[in-house]
Amino acid sequence: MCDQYKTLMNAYIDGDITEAQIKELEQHVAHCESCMIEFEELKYVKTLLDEEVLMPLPNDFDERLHQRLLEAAATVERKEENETIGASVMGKIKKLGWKSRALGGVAAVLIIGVVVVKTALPYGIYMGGSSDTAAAANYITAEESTEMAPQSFGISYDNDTAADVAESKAVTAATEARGADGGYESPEMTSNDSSQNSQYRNGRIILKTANLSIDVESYDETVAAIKAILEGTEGYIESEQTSYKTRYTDRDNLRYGSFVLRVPADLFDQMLDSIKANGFVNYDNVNSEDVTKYYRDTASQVENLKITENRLREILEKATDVSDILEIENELTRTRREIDALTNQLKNWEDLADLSYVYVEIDEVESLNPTIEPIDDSVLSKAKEGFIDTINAIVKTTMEIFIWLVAKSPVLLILAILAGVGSKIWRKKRHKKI
Amino acid sequence: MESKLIEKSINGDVASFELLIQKYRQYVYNITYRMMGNSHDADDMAQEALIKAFKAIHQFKGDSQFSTWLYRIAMNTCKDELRKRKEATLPLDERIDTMTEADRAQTDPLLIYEQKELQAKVQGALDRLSADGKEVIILRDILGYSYEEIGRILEVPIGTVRSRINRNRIMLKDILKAEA
Repeated sequence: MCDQYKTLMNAYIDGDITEAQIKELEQHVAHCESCMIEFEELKYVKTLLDEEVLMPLPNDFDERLHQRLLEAAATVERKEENETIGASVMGKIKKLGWKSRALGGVAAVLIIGVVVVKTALPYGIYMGGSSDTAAAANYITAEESTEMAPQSFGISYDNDTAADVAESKAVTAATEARGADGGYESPEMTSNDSSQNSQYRNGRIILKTANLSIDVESYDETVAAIKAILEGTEGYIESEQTSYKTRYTDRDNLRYGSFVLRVPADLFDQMLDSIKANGFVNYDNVNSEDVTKYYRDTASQVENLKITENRLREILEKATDVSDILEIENELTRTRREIDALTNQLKNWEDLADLSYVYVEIDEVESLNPTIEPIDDSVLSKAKEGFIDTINAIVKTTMEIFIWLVAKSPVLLILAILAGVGSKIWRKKRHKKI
Repeated sequence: MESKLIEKSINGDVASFELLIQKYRQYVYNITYRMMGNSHDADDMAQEALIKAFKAIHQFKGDSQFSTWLYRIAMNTCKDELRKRKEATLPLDERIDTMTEADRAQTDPLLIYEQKELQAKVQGALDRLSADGKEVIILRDILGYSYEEIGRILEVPIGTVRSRINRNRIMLKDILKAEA
């Protein structure tokens, strides 16, 4: 009976409730005493729970954890070392690239050899050998478990710079993998990450474009409506073109115009509606392109490049050889250029998402509802007028022909003589031939 | 960068892992505290959960947030422990049900009791909820996660989360009332 209201009470507490449901709940509670008590109590329990503070960590929590983590790390390493014996080694090596296969094989033989010797003989003598093996085994498992670029295996870690290069590659690969997994889609909890990512947009990036063609009765009103919406917003008219329609010149001063608008995304629908309200829509097309995926991919690419850039700077500080320095600087320039290009692309998308393109063609017409006009009373007088007009036109034309003939008579006379002579000659010639 | 720290942790770097859990460990401890009901057990379980996380971090696939994954481990560690203990003690759910039924007739308004007194009792009441019930209340009302996030942490459907919260809040309230 009252169970459904208990569900509503919880929904109310969590803010997961509609206006209508709140009303329903309030009405019920006003009448049902037991529910009113229940509701008050529930709200009170919620405030109690809200006031529960976070407990501080016990005193030596971190120290004890550290000790246990070290122990755990040690056992993990020992386990890995044992696991590398036999088939698992070959399995792991197969997963590595061809470049490292030879090295891997050598390492595997060494590991097997050393481990076998190690287990067969007393520990102390072979301590040096076994620690090497552990290191090698770690590299293999690290490579395999993270699926990083396999070529970094087998590089000799002689000096800091080489190691740094390899590490930066690995970091890039790892970040790329994370980006591809959608790591950037959910904002991370970490404060570092959130501050780094705040420059990028969350949510979906959708680029909207509209094409509209419309017949209107009042051109000015339509244009005024468009301007009214854009006023005070970031939107603007990118281009505007108005011309008179030549075939109606005399009568109506009808106009035709085409507009390119940049409309803030939240006003997009309102803009379309208000333009459409002005007349008859001939053509209407709205196109949305979701570039969220490209945007996120590009964003993570930029982040990766920034990491690479930072690493390169660190390496640059350590480098002493002039040719190394030049090479790193070249690489830095290239990375920077790429970051800039991608950042521009991101900005461009953001801009397009903020301000949608709306292309409008406005065609002014005399009337949106063309009708057959009724025959009016003066039809006879109009017919008479027409008749007189026609007679007048005939008279006028005849007169004009007469005037023309008289005026041009000298010329016509000469032409007539020439024509007469010409025809005589032509006839004689024809006669002779026959 | 969190992903970098995770990479290093996978390779067995203890320092990186400690850096990684820096901002989550207090929440882990608070989860275990609410689940277990006393600081001694909470300490044990928090340590246990963090060690587990370190050993299993190569299984973290990056398809959820690291914190979500970590809290799930903390929850499950506590539930496992509670299940072990439960086998040797009274079944919790039944005890609550009989008590609340008996005391439901009482209509003393909760409001007359002093707040501090009650706050101290909140934990006691939480302890008497089932493990499943306790965890949703902790996540929703103490850590402030949304239904969706709770669903992700516990890997249960959102409808289940909602009904569990409904049921257990009322139960928690009844327990508090009965004790008062």
